[in-house]
Amino acid sequence: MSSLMDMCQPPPPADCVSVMEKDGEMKFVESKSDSEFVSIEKYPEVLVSRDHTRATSQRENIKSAFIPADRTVWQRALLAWQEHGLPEAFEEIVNSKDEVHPVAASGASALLRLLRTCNSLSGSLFPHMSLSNEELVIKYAEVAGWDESPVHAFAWHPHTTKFALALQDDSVHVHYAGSTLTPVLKHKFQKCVAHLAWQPLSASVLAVACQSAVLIWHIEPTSLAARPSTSSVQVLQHRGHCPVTHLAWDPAGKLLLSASSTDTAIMAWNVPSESCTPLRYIGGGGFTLLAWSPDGDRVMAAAPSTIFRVWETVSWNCEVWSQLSGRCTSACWSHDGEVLLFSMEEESVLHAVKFNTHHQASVEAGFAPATLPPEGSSGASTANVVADLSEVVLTSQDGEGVKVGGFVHQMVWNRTSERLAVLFKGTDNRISPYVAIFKTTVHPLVQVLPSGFVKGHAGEVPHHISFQPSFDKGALLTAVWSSGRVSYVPMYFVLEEQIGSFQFQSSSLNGHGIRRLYTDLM
Amino acid sequence: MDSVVYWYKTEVYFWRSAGSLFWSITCLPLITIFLVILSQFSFLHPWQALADFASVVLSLSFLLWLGILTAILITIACTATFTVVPDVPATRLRSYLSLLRWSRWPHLIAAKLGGACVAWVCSHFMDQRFYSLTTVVVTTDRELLLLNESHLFLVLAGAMAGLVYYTNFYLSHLSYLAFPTLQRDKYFRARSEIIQLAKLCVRLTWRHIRLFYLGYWLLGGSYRSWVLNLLNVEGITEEQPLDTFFGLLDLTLLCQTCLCTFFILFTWSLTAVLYRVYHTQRLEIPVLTTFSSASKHCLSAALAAQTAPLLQHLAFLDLAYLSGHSPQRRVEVFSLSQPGGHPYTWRAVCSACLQQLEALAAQVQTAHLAALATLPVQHLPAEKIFSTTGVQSTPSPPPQPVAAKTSFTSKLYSGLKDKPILSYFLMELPDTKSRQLFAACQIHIWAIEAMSQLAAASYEEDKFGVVQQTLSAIFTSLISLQDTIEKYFKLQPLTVRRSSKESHPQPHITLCQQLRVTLKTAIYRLTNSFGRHLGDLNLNTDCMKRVRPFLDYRE
Repeated sequence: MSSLMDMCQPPPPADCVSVMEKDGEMKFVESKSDSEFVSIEKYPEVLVSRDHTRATSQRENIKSAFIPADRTVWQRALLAWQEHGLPEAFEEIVNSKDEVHPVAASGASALLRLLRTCNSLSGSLFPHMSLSNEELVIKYAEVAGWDESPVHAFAWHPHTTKFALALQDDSVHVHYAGSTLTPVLKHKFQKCVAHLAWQPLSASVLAVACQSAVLIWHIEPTSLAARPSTSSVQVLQHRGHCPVTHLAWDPAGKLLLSASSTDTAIMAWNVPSESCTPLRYIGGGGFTLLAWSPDGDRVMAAAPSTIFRVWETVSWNCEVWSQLSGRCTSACWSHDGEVLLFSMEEESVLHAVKFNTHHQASVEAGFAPATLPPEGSSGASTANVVADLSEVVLTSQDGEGVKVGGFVHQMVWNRTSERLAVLFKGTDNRISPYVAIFKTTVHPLVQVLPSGFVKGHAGEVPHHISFQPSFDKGALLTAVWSSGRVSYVPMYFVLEEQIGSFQFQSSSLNGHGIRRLYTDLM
Repeated sequence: MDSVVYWYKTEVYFWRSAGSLFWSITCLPLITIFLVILSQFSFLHPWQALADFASVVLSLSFLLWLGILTAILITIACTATFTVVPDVPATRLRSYLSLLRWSRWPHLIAAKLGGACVAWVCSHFMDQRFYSLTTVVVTTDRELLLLNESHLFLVLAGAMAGLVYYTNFYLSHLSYLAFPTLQRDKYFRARSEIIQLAKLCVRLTWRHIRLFYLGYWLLGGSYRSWVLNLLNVEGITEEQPLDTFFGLLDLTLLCQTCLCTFFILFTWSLTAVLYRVYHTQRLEIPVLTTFSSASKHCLSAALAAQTAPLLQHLAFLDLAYLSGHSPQRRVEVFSLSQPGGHPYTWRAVCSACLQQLEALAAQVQTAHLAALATLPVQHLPAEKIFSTTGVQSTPSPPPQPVAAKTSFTSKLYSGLKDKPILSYFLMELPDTKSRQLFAACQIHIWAIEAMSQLAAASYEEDKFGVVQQTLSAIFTSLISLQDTIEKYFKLQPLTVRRSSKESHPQPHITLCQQLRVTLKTAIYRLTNSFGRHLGDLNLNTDCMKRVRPFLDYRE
């Protein structure tokens, strides 16, 4: 299969920046005139300044700031045990074996060796277990290049023009349309923010995935406070459930799922009562990614190893999808919850699974042969390859050869599943400066057609992309660039749901076209 | 209406209870064998222990002991009382007094006697020295009948463990049938509950043992002499009486008491947990009555079944479930009757839900007015208002509050409340009023969810327009309930949140929070689906004004 990227339009020249899609084409303007061109009105202009990037010393080990005191080896070992755990305590003893009895020293060294063997054993099964919390977040966070990115997490509100940004100094900023007030959220538990999620069917509830807990902020939209107080926070903690790397709200706004890459259970939180129900399955070594289907019937959860699970949300049974070629890096559902699109690490192919929306997985043949037989209960079902996005060199409009495509790091589908945006990592593991846009259809077959590229200013690299869920004139892509700029790229087209509906026809025919209720007809 | 209750009692309740009891009885021999292994185990003589274990388990009498244990278990299970509405006592004293309620006496007596019996049975699985209450010792001149104090100690510990089980059953709400957040299969729920239960029982055992040892050390002597008198026995077998410090330093005795206590607590609490798992399982009740089935049970009848609260809860749970997850059954709710073409089902379902919500709104309103009445109202002295006339009036002393004629008991009560130790028992627990008011609101949460989800689904699915006639009533009902509840909580804000230390959050404490969140979500769901059509709904201006912030996402 040749790469789909070959069929793309030539990428824009290096000194241009994408502004919108109109009449089916991506439009660019020159970087210089960008400041005059407002692609969409009343949206907050955000440029994350370097003030918010943290001082590098902040996360350094606190030990380095203190002068070592004279303590006996046993006291030191006890302290090490309290602060870091058993292996460090043994290490302390072994390091200063001149001060202790030779028998104790050899015993400690033997135990240390045993512990390390055990650790490396589990580490060889699940290599991510040996990483530190921050390394885990860097590896599994939704934002590409989490450690370098000026923004650690980004989330649109599902219903209004409002979004939240987590910055490098661990603060979360909330931006509203048509308002200069940006509430800044800070909390002592708010460290290593990996993900943000607004509660659906609510105006003010934001869940923040942190290193040791999930924080639930209640940000009153009518309040004028620039720093909402920490009394409006609920802290959801569970032992062993850290660092929290991904969150997903039930589309009905009732449940919050949180996943941690080191915990084999997904926590289903009942937020008002702050209680959780673990959904535990040994195997897989944790969960890195959650995707709740828009109709609320299924949840996909990817593990750091080569499997993912799909839960149905009535009696919470799951099916396992195994034999993937790598870890699942990104996944998204179609608007009707029928198609799950996913990509894998170190592979530049998009796969699709088609589910029956009446609680039975079914498959529609017609694409590449079956590769992934599931172990679950829902019968024979396979994933199909829908697009090959391997890296190719295209000639841009100004005649230079540029690399596009590669491994998929993040992909997002708009609310109506008509536009798909993909953020790539090249084979050299660097983020591609071009975000590819595809036009998609879901029925009767999943089709992916290249539409164009979204590009920032020269030298800018995208770290995060997302579609605004409440945009109704087509789709609106938001990209966070390495310069700290948040850009909006509106794509104007007539939504498919409007084409078929009464509304579109009547408005085009006689000018008044809102569907009316029965009460009104009587 | 009786028919649906009868159907539920005979075909659902009975089988669910039987199922839960069956599994707890099935678990009993396994746990007993485990107990025997642990109580016979010895580090120094593993082979001897194995042989002892085999001789106990393979003997015929073991079956007899198992029979007795099962009989006790069934008695405990049958005397236990469960509720769907949590009991919220106002003070600690009241919560302790509630243990002595008449309806709970059979359970108390069964637990106390049962505990002693189980300990007596357990003593036969143990070391020789625990076997019997008395032993005959032949000395040179005569036969001496001596009391086996270890046996006495163990049986007493068992009876006390029964008491611990009983208090724990009511005070930590094992008797409250809390519905789970996720309706998983029974197996998964039981599995996660059993692990939690085992941890809880270990903690309880540890606490019980400490208290029991202290108690025996202080009072054991008089208890022993009373038994000695009663049985007319001449002495005890042990050289060291057990109510002394060194007497209690008996490691075997400690181990056996711990095991026995844990066994009692775990097996009995497991029965309660399984009962809860079985009875809070979602029950699918048919929406329409069918001609083929003889009984006329249907969802709308179950929703109105006030004589069977558990059935009513299950009906509302099922309604909330079908409104969110089952398009096929929603079609039945929106269907018209044949012949006639009346939306009887929808009307019954809708009125059952709205009635519940109106009743709650009325209750909250009453409580709100009562709270308003108790608010201190500041009376400004009249002089102060007119003091600008130039005549400097002397500042009058603030008006004396009218000394309410307090009765002697309330005076005594408020006096006792200030005493340091008594205040612990008499102090009002936080948020009691709100909790009592919202104790039964699980039904309302489901009703709100069901109404909003059915209404939202009707936009696409309701072919005959049956829902839309009541749409404005649903809107008005939800908005006014929200308004009433928010007004109430403005006067009586919730004081405490769950402390992070508390590992076992009690579900009933947060019911009112859940209600508020559900209500807001429900209104958002309605405004999301019908936002553009609000003008057609004929809502009154007051309601319209309250909907406005929801439309703008500013609530």
